[in-house]
Amino acid sequence: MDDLPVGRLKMLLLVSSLVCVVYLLLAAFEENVTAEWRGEQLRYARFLAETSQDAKNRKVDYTLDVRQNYLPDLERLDRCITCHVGIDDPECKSQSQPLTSHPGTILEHHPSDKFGCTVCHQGQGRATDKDAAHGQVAYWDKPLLSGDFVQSTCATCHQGDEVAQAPVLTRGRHLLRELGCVGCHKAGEIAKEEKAGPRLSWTGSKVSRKWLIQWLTDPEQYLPKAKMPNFGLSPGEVNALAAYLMTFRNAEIDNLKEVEGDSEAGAALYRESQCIVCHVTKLDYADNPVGGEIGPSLLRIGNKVTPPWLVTFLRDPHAFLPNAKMPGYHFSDQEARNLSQYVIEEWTDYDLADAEEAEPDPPPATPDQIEMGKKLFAALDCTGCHDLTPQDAWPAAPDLTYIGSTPTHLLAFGDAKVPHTLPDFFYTKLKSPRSLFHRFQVPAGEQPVPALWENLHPTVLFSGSRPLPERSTDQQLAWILEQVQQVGMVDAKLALPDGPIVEQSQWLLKVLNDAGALNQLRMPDFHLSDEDAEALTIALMSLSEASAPSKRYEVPSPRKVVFNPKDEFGELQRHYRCLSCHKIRDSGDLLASDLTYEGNRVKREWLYHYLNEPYSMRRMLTIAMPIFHFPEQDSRLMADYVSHVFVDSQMGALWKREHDKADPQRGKELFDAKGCIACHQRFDEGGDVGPSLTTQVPEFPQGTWVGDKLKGQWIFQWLKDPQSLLPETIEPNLGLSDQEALDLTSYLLTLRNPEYAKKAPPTEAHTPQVDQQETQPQEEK
Amino acid sequence: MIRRVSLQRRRAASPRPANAKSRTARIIFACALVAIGCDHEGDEQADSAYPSPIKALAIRGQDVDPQVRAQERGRTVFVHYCQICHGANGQGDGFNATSLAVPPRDFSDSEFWKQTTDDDLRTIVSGGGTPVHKSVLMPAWGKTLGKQQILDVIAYLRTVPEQVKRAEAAEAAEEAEETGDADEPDEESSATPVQDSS
Repeated sequence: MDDLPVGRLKMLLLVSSLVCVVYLLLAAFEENVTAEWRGEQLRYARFLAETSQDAKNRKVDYTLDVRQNYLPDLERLDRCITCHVGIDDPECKSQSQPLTSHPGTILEHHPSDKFGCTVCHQGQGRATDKDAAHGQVAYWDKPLLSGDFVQSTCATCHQGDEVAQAPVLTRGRHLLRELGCVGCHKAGEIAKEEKAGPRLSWTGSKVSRKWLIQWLTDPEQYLPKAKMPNFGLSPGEVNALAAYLMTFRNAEIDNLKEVEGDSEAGAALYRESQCIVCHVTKLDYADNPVGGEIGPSLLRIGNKVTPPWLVTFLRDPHAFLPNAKMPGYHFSDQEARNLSQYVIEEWTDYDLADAEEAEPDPPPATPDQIEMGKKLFAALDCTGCHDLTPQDAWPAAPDLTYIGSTPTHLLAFGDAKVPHTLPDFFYTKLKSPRSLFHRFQVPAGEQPVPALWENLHPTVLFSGSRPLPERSTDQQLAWILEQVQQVGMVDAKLALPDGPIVEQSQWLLKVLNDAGALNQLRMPDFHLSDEDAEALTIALMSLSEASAPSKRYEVPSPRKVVFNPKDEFGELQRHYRCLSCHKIRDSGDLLASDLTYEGNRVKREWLYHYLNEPYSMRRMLTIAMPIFHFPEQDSRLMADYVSHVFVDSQMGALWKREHDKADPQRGKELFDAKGCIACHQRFDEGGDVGPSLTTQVPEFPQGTWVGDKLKGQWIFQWLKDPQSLLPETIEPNLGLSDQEALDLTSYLLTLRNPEYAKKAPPTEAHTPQVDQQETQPQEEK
Repeated sequence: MIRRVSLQRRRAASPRPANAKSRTARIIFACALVAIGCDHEGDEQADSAYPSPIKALAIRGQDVDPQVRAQERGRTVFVHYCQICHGANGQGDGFNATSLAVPPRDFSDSEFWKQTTDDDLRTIVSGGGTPVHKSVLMPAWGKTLGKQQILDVIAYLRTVPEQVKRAEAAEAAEEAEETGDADEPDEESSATPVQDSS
């Protein structure tokens, strides 16, 4: 081909230059005259003029310009306010996007001129057209975050698991621990504390092999809200795993003589011990579970555990599960037998038991199976959630510490039909973990048969344990099919079709792909709800390399005071597991009352009697603290310790100083005028929102009234500002004056049950031995 | 892209060394074409072909009416503080309502809304029943709830009559369907709705 003459090239250069110049001119016009942001700023200027105070002079001095926040500390230049001009103007609340003001109160602590926008919302701060600025363009890995997803960036500056203003992030990080994710994955500062599942070292004595096989096949079949995820195991794998786990037995349980207990006495014990607070024990009319979710559901527990194991467990739950939330009740052998009898009689699904009985026993486990089970136990990373032997290593699944910073092009989406973004990746992975996978193709240049064999999942069952037998290719294919059929991964009726080898291997490839036998992904399916998957997605996005640019922006995690004193009370607390229901300082749960200032709240005598005979303060509520049958010295020590240690000496100081100025008569009038009766019972009259002030229970005539129970300092503080003591209480702050609060307090203290006064007082108060270091609020270091 | 490749190939094939000027011209020309061609190349990739499985992201970019947002916030406040007396749907039939000498207000009553302004309600919610000579059993919430929370609650309360009406209509429709099925269990009538829906 001849080259073009120089003259024509010059022409071409001229034309192309002209095209470029025109293009640039048009671009300049578009950028400066017809730009979207100009229209928005004009709209804002019009809005300012309309709302201007000076009605006559409706001209507002407002220049249209690109506006920006330049934040060298944060290495940000955010031009978002070019369009979002009203972001910190409360007047703009009713305007539509982009003029509207920022929702919520977050800008009070994070003003946009100090923090900019993209630190929290991401997107492309420098851009001035909508799509580019929102980062919804190719190759911008950090598109704008919306809704709850903004919370994923809070972790840039806010350290620790709990960020008060980011509830979804906090929940997601909690789930990472709770579901046992951190058992297999490293996740930066979200560290492993204890394993999410129970110890398996007595499995053989605890459950039957049939039950275990059913559980491993599909945990949700037995327990609809099972915490253990579904590993999608084939029947062969399940059998091997069950055979291995059943070899872990405990001689003491195995040798325990089965003696029948008295189930009626067991039923009484069940009610006293308030088992329903922690365990689901029945279904309501709409099949919703009734009972707590702290412990496992008791429904069908009789189908699961053996009576000797249950008796042993009830005698001392902490020997089997050292971290169990279940308190140590003082059950005698006989009591444990009675309770076990009742539990097994009450919660056995007899239809299910009969069906199980009718099924043939699985053939006895072979040494091969047990060996396979052992390999499988390691390959599936079971030790991430369960202790089995003391030498168990933590498994090493992919490290998630900086997973939130992964560039999109490095994420393996496989064939999944989802948008290729980070949140979509996490969400899909969490909802259906093995869907992010390419169907297996034999790599170019490799022999199909060995490639199929080596890539079978899980490798331990197949290629890892045995080499491919040396036979002709079609025999090898038939042999692979047979192996897969033996473990039940593929329908046993299928047979290799006749035809050339290439077609046969194509056919087998398709069959194995369809059965998921070539999928190397191992993460199990947690059957997460949409909300949980979203919270976890946000938590994973927060695990990023981004960190606060300087100390000035760092918000350290609030220091938690763990309550675990090394004194007599600490021992009792660990035995009775008070913190499973009660909160003390920053430890424990708020299922029952917060005990941090219990010493300011209740009188020592009352507490002593209550520990021995707990009862409900509310007419409509039958659930109260379990009857522990505390030994005399235990309840005395607890009463002494609580009134001595769980005290803030400043609380209700005004009451202590001026209680003699209070007038109960005026207090009584106030009680009526303020409508307290709407929520509190007084002498069989009034509402049932708050606790009764005069507990009137026929079977409990010596029940305590408010004056018997509470201390004046607490009532005074409560009346002045209830939310200061219990932030979520619905008791309204009535804005009482000091004198009014004094009067009302003194009136409430006059409400005392004459029957209660007849009760024998506890022995004299002692000063208990106290671990000063653990119980005193420590100075900031 | 194709143009640049063919241009390069042509140059490589050319036996005669091109003079400096024409080479620069060619390069500039090629660059200009490539630059213009590339400008919008990436945009298609950004709009992914598949919808997001995440519900919260599927509605990305939709502008929520601030009034609706206020009503939602108000509902949370209502559920926490008010429903125990005023009922889950604001019909004055809460768990504690039967214990009260004066029954709590039923907010589904449209007569009530004709006579009541937002300002009246603000006074009652923040000051309780006493200042307006109503029942003392309604406490003052002005020190417990913030100004915005009270406005939100009122915004929510205004939606009660319509929500109750809608719920009742849905219930009536469901009931009619159920009784309809029970009355005429024969095949013909049950076949009709199937045809309709198809």
